[in-house]
Amino acid sequence: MRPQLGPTCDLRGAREGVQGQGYPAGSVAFQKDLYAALKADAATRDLPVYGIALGLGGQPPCSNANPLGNAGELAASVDFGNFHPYPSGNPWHPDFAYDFVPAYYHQTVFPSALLDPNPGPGLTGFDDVTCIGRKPYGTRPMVATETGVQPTSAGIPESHQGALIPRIVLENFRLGIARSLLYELADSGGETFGLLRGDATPRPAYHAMTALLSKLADPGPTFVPDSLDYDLALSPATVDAGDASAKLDRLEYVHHLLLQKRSGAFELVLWHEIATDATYPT
Amino acid sequence: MSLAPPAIPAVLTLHRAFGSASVTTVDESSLSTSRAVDVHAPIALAVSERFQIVELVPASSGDAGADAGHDGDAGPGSADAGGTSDATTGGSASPVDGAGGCGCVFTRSERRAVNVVRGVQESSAINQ
Repeated sequence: MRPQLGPTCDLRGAREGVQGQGYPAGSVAFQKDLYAALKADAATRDLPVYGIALGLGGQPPCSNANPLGNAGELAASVDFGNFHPYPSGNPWHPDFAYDFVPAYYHQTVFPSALLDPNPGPGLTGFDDVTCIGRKPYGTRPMVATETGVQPTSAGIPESHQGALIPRIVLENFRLGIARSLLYELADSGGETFGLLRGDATPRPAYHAMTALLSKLADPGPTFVPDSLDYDLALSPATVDAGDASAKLDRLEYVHHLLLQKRSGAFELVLWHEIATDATYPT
Repeated sequence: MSLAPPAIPAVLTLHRAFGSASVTTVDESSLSTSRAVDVHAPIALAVSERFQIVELVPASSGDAGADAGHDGDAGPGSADAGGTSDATTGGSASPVDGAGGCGCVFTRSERRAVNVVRGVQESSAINQ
């Protein structure tokens, strides 16, 4: 029986063990069999196939354990690699103090903490070639079949989630992650990741995503976008907090993404990729 | 004490004529705020953790897409002026076919902002 799949359907390998084997051996074997079968069938060969979702396997440092095989073992069995880059601290990043935080990457939460292509000397980001030998998907483009922020836990307010969720989407796109799926639409299972609360009332993140999508929506056929020549001059900022102050001078944290609509209008999106106020001293 | 991170002052200078421009700031409320800006002068911005969208509208609809599809006059990162470490990566826009069948085009030319970012950045099609 052939699967009944729509034009936007994607297929993902099994994370749990299958074929009588546990994880990861069963999952790796299933992924290879799945890809071979789908690509051999004219009815399914054009469907994009995602890989098994990685946690942090193969991520910096390059010696980090990777259960799915190294050196691109699964690169030939996926169209897109797959991972779950939830914003969190980056325990491998060298300590440095910034913005009132003694160990900025360790102790703060922002979307690029684990994704920044060049977060610091001696450490590389998720798509850096120096870790390719430890990555099961080699140089295949990546998708993120889960990402999100859980408010109300660990003292993260809902407004914090509302600021971070659209930045996750923009940051992932800026870094070339082909598709990002948010976990999740509504709270479930005792967790509070939802854009909607358990009673279906919207959280701030819901409104923020609604605004983002309505502002940037431009449905239609594929077209080739134009380019734009511009200067963006930045200046450091200072925040005073009683007898302490911090100078925000890592201007590379200002990120920008240039988009274009079919009307010819450009949409230049700018944001300060920095931890939110929840990480400030209290 | 709980403080919002301060905004980074920024000045956006365009090297092409546009008919109009606006800046929209999106926050977690149900409304976003938008203000028109003068396209004939550098655009002053305050870049915060809440993203902002600078919309640049062509002078006339006849201009829209008239030169779309050309190769551009430079790849991303080719023309730095005073940039301290404009670490651009990648090159031309990369077509991505098969990501859910959307046929999106995006650029990997992630331009890392520095004191002065100068150059041509290729844009990405929006396809939702």
